[in-house]
Amino acid sequence: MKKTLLLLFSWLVYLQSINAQIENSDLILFGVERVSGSYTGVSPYIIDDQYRLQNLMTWRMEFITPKTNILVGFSWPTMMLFNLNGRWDQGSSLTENRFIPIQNRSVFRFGRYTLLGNREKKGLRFGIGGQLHVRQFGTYKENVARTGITNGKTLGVGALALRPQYGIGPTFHLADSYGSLVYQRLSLNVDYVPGKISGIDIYPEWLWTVNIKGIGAFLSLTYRYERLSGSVQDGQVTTPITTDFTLHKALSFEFGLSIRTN
Amino acid sequence: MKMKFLLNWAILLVFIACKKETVNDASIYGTWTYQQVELLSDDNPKTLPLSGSFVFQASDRSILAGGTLYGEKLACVAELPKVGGDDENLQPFKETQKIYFTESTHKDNYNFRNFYNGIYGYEIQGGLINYSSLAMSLNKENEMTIQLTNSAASLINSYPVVTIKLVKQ
Repeated sequence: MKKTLLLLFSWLVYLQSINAQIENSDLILFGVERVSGSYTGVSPYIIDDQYRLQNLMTWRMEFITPKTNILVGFSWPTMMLFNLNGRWDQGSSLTENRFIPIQNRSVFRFGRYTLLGNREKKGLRFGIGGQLHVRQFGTYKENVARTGITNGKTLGVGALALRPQYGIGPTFHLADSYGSLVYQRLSLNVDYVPGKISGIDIYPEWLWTVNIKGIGAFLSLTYRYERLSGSVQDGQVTTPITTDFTLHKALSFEFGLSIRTN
Repeated sequence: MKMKFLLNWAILLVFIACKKETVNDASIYGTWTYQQVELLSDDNPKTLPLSGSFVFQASDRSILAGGTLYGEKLACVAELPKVGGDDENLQPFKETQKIYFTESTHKDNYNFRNFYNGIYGYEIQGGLINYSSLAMSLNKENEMTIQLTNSAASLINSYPVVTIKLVKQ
């Protein structure tokens, strides 16, 4: 219901902005992210499960011109800054059924998109570009020792091992702006992740910002579908890996403060 | 002036962002039942039929044992799942105990689903406490997953972790 209302609201904004053209503007967005995800298992121990977590203090900058859009985004474990208990795992979550700590957050993202067509055009503009996206995703093997399940042995977590994931790929988007008040874009991103654990990510993303006299708010919805295969662990002896791939799905909802500098 | 305005927004955002979630103990009071027991293992997990119940309630007493305080808030009359027999012939059975919980190590966190991670204990002869670790996840309002770890000597070594899914009645 909430998602439906959000989409409806965005559509209303879109209708209002349909006659405007994209202008120069720089956006700085500070936000928090809520992620709900699920994955298919890879071994008898790591089986199908789901999770929900929050990533705090994400931020990104978007530099928009009638011709290009450059995006630079960061997220870092600022939990440490704000959590007086100093717990390392607050930025992660235990999975719902197996209580395995899992983390899913963006570390760094850079994208550059070129808007096609006449720069004077009013309404939606189609853009194409590429991006580099570094993410941290996977389960903590340390947990295994904590729960005592392994009796000190090493478990194989296959393609779900926690590691930085370097994704690179094309992106297509529709961008729209209403003066200095509203900016929104709908993107479809495809990332290829090379490495011992390789993967393909497909994730549509919707960003909406509203600013009045430079100050405002933003919302962002992203649905990520990825297939990861491989393993970074040699010799899966104690836990047989039953499949060498996992399908991971995650819906992330991000919101926060938007500052428009011009 | 504008900077001050920005700063106020930023501080407000941080407060909103850092709001931790809690599960009120009272919200899980009541009778919860399970129908099967999952035995985790490195290579050969099993699911066995066994039904039982957990009745969560406010604790009526607190017990200090071994430097640990049990039952400060939450207690439960639990039909604890146990497994006997051997690898070839697993025999699940229940053991009814009134168990007392320690404070959760995840008392407040950013993910209320996994709301408890701590130790439970129950008294055995001579006032000794038999204790073990336990994790609880409130998947839905009326569904909870509990993982009992290294719960008792009656668990055979191959299956040190038991998972049950409770449904609220």
